[in-house]
Amino acid sequence: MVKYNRLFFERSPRFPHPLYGEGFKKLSISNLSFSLNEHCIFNNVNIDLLRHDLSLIIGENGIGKSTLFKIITKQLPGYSGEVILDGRNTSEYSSRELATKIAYLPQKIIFDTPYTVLEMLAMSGYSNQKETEGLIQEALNLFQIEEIMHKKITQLSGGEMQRALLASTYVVGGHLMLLDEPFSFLDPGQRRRFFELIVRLHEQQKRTFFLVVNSLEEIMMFKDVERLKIYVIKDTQIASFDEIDKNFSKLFYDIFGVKVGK
Amino acid sequence: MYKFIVLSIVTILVLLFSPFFGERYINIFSFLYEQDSFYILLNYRIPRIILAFFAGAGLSLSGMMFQSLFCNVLATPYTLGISSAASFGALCAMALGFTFNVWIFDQTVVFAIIFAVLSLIVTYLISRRYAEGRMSDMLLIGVAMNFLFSSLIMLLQFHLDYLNAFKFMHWMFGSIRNVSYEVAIFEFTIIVFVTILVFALRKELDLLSLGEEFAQSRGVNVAYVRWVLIGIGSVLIGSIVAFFGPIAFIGLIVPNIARAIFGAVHGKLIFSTLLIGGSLLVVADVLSRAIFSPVELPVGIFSSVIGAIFFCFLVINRRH
Repeated sequence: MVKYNRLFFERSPRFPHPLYGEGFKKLSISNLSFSLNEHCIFNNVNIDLLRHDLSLIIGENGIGKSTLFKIITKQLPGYSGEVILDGRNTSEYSSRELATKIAYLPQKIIFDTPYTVLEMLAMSGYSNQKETEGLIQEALNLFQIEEIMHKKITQLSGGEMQRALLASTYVVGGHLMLLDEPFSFLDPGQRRRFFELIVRLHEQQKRTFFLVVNSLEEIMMFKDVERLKIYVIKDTQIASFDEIDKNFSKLFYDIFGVKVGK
Repeated sequence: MYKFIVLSIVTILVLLFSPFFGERYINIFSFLYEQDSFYILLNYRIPRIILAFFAGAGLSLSGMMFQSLFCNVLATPYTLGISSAASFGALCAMALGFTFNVWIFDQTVVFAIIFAVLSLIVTYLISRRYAEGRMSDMLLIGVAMNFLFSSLIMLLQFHLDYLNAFKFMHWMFGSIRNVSYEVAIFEFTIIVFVTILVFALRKELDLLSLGEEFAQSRGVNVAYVRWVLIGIGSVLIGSIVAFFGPIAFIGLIVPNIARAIFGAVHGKLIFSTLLIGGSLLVVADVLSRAIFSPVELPVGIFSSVIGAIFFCFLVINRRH
């Protein structure tokens, strides 16, 4: 515990952090096709994520949003096409190397093991051992979790949990943050604060984000953010939009039967 | 930190004083002058205490590994069916009725180890081929293997004569037999080897106990780490079950006790699990010899009784 207590005497958030200084330039997914149990999920999909982009992805449940994230973080082999991260195929990266580029927050995490929040943050720095202390210090300030850091993660409320998870994803150190449904289980107030946190990271640190969202409200929150991109998955294809325009509204109505705007 | 000091002191006290208790009490102050007491102490009591300590420590450590690996606090060293496979091997050796002896390995031990390894390989191959290496499916296949071998055991037991059936039943309870310093050296080597490996992988274990996906997302090479852990865990279990039988329950409760007292971070958990597991089995072994002296109960029964009571106490108190 001594090691963690030391943190509170070295308050020196370094922006931009050396680790994500030049950690990420481009992720390009080209001609991606993927089938699961002979059921086609993606057919010739192309996505480019550039540095400082904030991309949202939406689609019906079970259509493959999480699958896409798993392919990017190379948890699902057996796809055709290429996922190229900074000039190299992701399959050439070791798990540890990949984590220094991509910080991924899986969906619906339920924890049974009674770690404290601080312990969870410390172990999330697995792939960047030297930077971990600095990153934890930054995360504690950024996400205001100093008051809950000695709580057990099994006893957190939904909002606290989500903050702790985002903080732990921050500590992973990867520049590109893939967040799978970060807004679920949050009440409107918490959702708002969580959104502000993400936008702050996006503006201050020029972070790149790729989020799974699952409601129009969540998309509308982001409508004024710079470098916004919205991807919509429909029938094994992905359409991309730079703003919320007529075409987007039409496609959205086609899929969900919900009108965008007035 | 003070908890660790207390635990270490308790462990040392247990190890120092337990040799004097047993079927008959040996006087602590005069044993050096009584030749027979000294002989019993040196050749039976002390090696037995050492063996009980290693068996308890090893079973608890492998229980801890499997609980973290499967993210399930109810996993035991026997969850993957290793113990019933080993038991089946031992039973086969008894049923076939031949004997041999190489150093410390007799026919029961060798057969138990062979079957433990075989069952693991089968589980591995099935889960790799048909379940794409998913942990939850592997757990299920392990449970199925467990039942398969248990049924085979019963099948074979029907055809045994009374003497062998009784011998085998006694074996199934688990007790500290094979008392010798050679076995102690063998177990010691394996436990040290496994402990070093597990300690080297403590950060991976920390993350794995939060789920495979979470560990992967933090940069752990899950596919590789879990097979290393399952491999060394099985070697550890096989080597203990082969000599002492499937001593029940200790691998389930000790890691949970350690987790409740020392927290779930593996850097500390590994050593507290080893010490608590070792001490608990030593105490249980002494009690199993002393209480109904001169009859000796199988230690598996006693470790379960002590463990179950303590465990309930712990679960009830956890929320406060």
